[in-house]
Amino acid sequence: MTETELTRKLLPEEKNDEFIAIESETFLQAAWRKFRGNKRALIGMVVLIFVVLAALFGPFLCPFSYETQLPEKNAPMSLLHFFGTDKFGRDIFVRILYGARISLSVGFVAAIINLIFGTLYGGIAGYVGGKLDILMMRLVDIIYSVPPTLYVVLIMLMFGPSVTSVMIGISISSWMGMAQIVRSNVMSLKEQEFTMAAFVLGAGDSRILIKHLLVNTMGPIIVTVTLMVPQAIFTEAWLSFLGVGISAPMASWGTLAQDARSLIEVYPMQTVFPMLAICITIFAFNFVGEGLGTALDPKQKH
Amino acid sequence: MSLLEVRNLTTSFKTDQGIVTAVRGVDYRVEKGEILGIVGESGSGKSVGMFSLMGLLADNGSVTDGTITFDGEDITPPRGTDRKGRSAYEKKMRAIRGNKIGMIFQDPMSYLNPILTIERQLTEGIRCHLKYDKKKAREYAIELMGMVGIPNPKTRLRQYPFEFSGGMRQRIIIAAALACNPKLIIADEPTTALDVTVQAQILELIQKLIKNTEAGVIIITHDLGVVASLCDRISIMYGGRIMEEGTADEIFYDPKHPYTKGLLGSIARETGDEKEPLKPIPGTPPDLLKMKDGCPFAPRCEEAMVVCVDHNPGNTEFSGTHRCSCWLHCMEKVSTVAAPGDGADDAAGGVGAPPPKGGGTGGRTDDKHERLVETGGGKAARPHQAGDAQAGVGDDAGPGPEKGGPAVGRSEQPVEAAAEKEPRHNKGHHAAFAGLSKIFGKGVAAHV
Amino acid sequence: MSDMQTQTGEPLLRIEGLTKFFPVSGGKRLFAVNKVTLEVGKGETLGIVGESGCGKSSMGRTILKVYEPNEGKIVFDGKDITKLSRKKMLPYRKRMQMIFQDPYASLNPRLTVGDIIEEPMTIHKIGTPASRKAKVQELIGVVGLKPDHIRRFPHEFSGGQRQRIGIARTLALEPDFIVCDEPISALDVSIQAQVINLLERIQKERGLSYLFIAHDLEMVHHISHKIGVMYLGHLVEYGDADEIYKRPKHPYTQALISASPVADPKSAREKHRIILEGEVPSPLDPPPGCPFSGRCPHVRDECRQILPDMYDYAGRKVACLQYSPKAQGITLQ
Repeated sequence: MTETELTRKLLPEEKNDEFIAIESETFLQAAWRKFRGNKRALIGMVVLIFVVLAALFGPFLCPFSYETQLPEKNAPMSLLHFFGTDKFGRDIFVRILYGARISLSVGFVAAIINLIFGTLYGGIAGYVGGKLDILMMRLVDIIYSVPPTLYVVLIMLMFGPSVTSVMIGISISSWMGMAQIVRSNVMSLKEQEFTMAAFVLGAGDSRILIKHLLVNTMGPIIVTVTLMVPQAIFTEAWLSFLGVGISAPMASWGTLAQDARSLIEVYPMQTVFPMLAICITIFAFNFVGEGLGTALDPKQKH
Repeated sequence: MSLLEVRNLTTSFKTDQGIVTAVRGVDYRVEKGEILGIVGESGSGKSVGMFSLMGLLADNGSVTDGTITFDGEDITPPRGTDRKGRSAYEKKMRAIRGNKIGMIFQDPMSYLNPILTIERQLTEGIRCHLKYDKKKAREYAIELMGMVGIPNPKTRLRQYPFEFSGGMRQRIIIAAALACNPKLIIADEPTTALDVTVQAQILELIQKLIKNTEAGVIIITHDLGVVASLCDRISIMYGGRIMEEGTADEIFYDPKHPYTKGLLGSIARETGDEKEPLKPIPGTPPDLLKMKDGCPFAPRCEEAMVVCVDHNPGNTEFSGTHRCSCWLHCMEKVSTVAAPGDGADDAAGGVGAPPPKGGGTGGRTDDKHERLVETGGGKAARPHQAGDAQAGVGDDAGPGPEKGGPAVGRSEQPVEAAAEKEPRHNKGHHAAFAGLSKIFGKGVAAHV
Repeated sequence: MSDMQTQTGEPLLRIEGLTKFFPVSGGKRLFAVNKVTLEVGKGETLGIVGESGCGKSSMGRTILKVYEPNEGKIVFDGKDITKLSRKKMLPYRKRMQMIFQDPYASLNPRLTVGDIIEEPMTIHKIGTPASRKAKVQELIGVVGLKPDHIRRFPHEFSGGQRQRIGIARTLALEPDFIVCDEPISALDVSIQAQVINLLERIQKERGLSYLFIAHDLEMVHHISHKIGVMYLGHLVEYGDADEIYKRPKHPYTQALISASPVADPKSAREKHRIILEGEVPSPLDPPPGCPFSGRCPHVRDECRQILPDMYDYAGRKVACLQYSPKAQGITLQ
């Protein structure tokens, strides 16, 4: 390099004084990058994908239906029957796969209903505020004050025992958590200057609520939904175990555990397998939920 | 000997995104009875430097280079993780903090424990350092509160921090800082959180109290107005380095560094009858993560030259008190020193090279022209690169000036998060209000 | 600078006796803005100064009807907009805009810079999608950012850059009047001047009017043609910027100006500082009579009983009994 080159004045384009250092990434890209870094969440996600795939396609690959009663009753684990058979000679592995369909769909449907209803309810209560908010939140308190089992039992009485009744019952008794989370987030975001900016610009209520408030609540909403699924699965299993859930010959994981209960001293494995299925799935969901929680938390930006 | 002497202080923080060197080779000194103002914007490293010398850095931060001498004692934090050295250092600092060095902070509420009375918090340090008994400590606390202008100190002493206004809380912090007759007082943005009229009260109080002591004072602020009225000498910091240092008059009326000139051009000053248009500094503050070894101000500097990008200029002295770190003046000095003479002596062989002295970020290279060689043409000067090769931690492997300007971007996040806030709040278990106990060395936190 | 009044004589914005209070627990009222009357002419900047809690931001928000005013009138371009519904306000929203204090909170973090600047045009259905995109490109250049920045997200920018994005968003509607609510107080010194210069340049080019709210007196003096000083919700002095800055009349203005630190060692040393006693009282519990009576160095008995009007004095309006016609009469005798 020459001497004059060193003392040459920098041209404006060489200085780049408005340079932006970070790579551009959207909210979701950033979240995915952080999620990837979390081993437990990743394992949870792999397990979940496996469980969902097994529930969707597993039954097609099996030689038996969930109702088929085979001559070998209470068979032990074997290559033919991975988890053995129950007291009616039904293959437990197949029944668990079918059970996964019911348990998972109860979980997902309840979570989606929660998502839609809870978000709208909480969003409106938080955005409008004032008397409407007080009214809406007292309603939530009232719904909270009744034990969730009661809703399911009542719905069962009204519509008869079915998967749908269970889904409706669980949904009714669990959306309030979502509503409260959305409400409190919306209330604090409402005070932010960007909301005021949107108001001053002339944005309408629905635009402010959806585009500015709810979009920024996306993180907590996704986390809550993810954690809602295992909760619903658990509630359903528990209700079925008590005998108020899904009834035979359909089988959810809870029913399977309930069916095997009478033989628990002789054939404990018949109870253990459905319980393991519940356990693993719930763990996986919780890990994913926790991972999403950290990945979507705006406070842990960098 | 100076009361406080800091040489080549370098402080880095480990963050998720890499190592942030918030302070890179800073020198300053404070004499007895003198007020030094350290002026800088967010991310300039002005507060981190203070936390480094007090040994109050967050766990992810460490002093990686330099020496600190206070009152004849070496208080350089030990490098590395040697446990013994650490605990000996901690012990030494506990005896110094709050005793020989008093501290005043921007946000008094963070340093007052909300559930303890003012009496409890104020007497803690007095009893700990001055070995007063309870009654004597209480009387002294009342005297102190009177001194800082709190009415009815006797009743006020029994109250809790929330019963005081912002200005009154700041007075309490000042009382605590002065309690043990410190030799050095460090005030970090002491009036930033206060309103103008209250700020004036506090500044007057500080001025009045300092007059009565022999203590040296460091005032850290972003407000040029505060230092103009208060300080004897001023250091201007940018990007972790001291850009210029001088007496208040030298800085305000004869600024040498383009950054100092830019700062002064950025503030509205009433000069005569006409309003002068503001002359802002273009661009954005640097991202300490991606800083090169050159002058941190180069990307925004109107005078920037190719050499500025990768080579840190040494200091050029203009008077006993006035020095500036800018290539522009290194060059000038050379031409004024070398031009009258032949110039060819030095330039024998074109690239004649006196031995490199000091490092890029390193020691005082007082006779700057030694590092610069007048070339045959007698027009351009050339710095020695050998001394500058001292790569800062976290720098990318020596990109040449050809690659264009250094990466500059937002400064707030990494620096603010890692450097400005954490040292204050993350240390210790009782993050929010462990402050006073930190200052006094021990005590208050134990009661939480 | 006062020659920038409108030709018609009618100011762009006039507020009369504007009052905003917030109900607080115990049936009390917190008067954030108390009977404020002022005007902003076309192409003019009115600076509002005061300490925290003086109601300057609340006033800006009430003028833009973010808060519904309780009493008084807001007249914009000859039309009383005080009682307009949100829908009827829409055409005025296009003309009256706001720049915010916190550049971190005032931009929606989930939208790209391009979306943020485009949004006002979408709301008001201005132009076609293509013409909006072109306008965004133009505006980003106006505020000194680069075209490829429009795909970035706000958190990637520094405070000063974000503030400029906010200004670009405001300009998208081509307003006539902008409330600048402490636009520089969260910024670094070297960045403040950038924003001030940008605002001044835009004003010159587009003939905008500003209501510039800040606590930095030097900056307010620098940018403003007129200044209003507020204390505890009241406007206490109002008039030409230079006049007030150089020859303040109200004791509070005098104290405020003398207390603000000057970045000039010589004048700082010579400056006589008026140091006020105490701090601003709570607006929940203001003193009777003049709001400043508790801290005023010239306080007289009557100050504690009578709330002063805005008296005309020395070419400005001052709310202090010293300058009441009666007092002036006495002095004249």
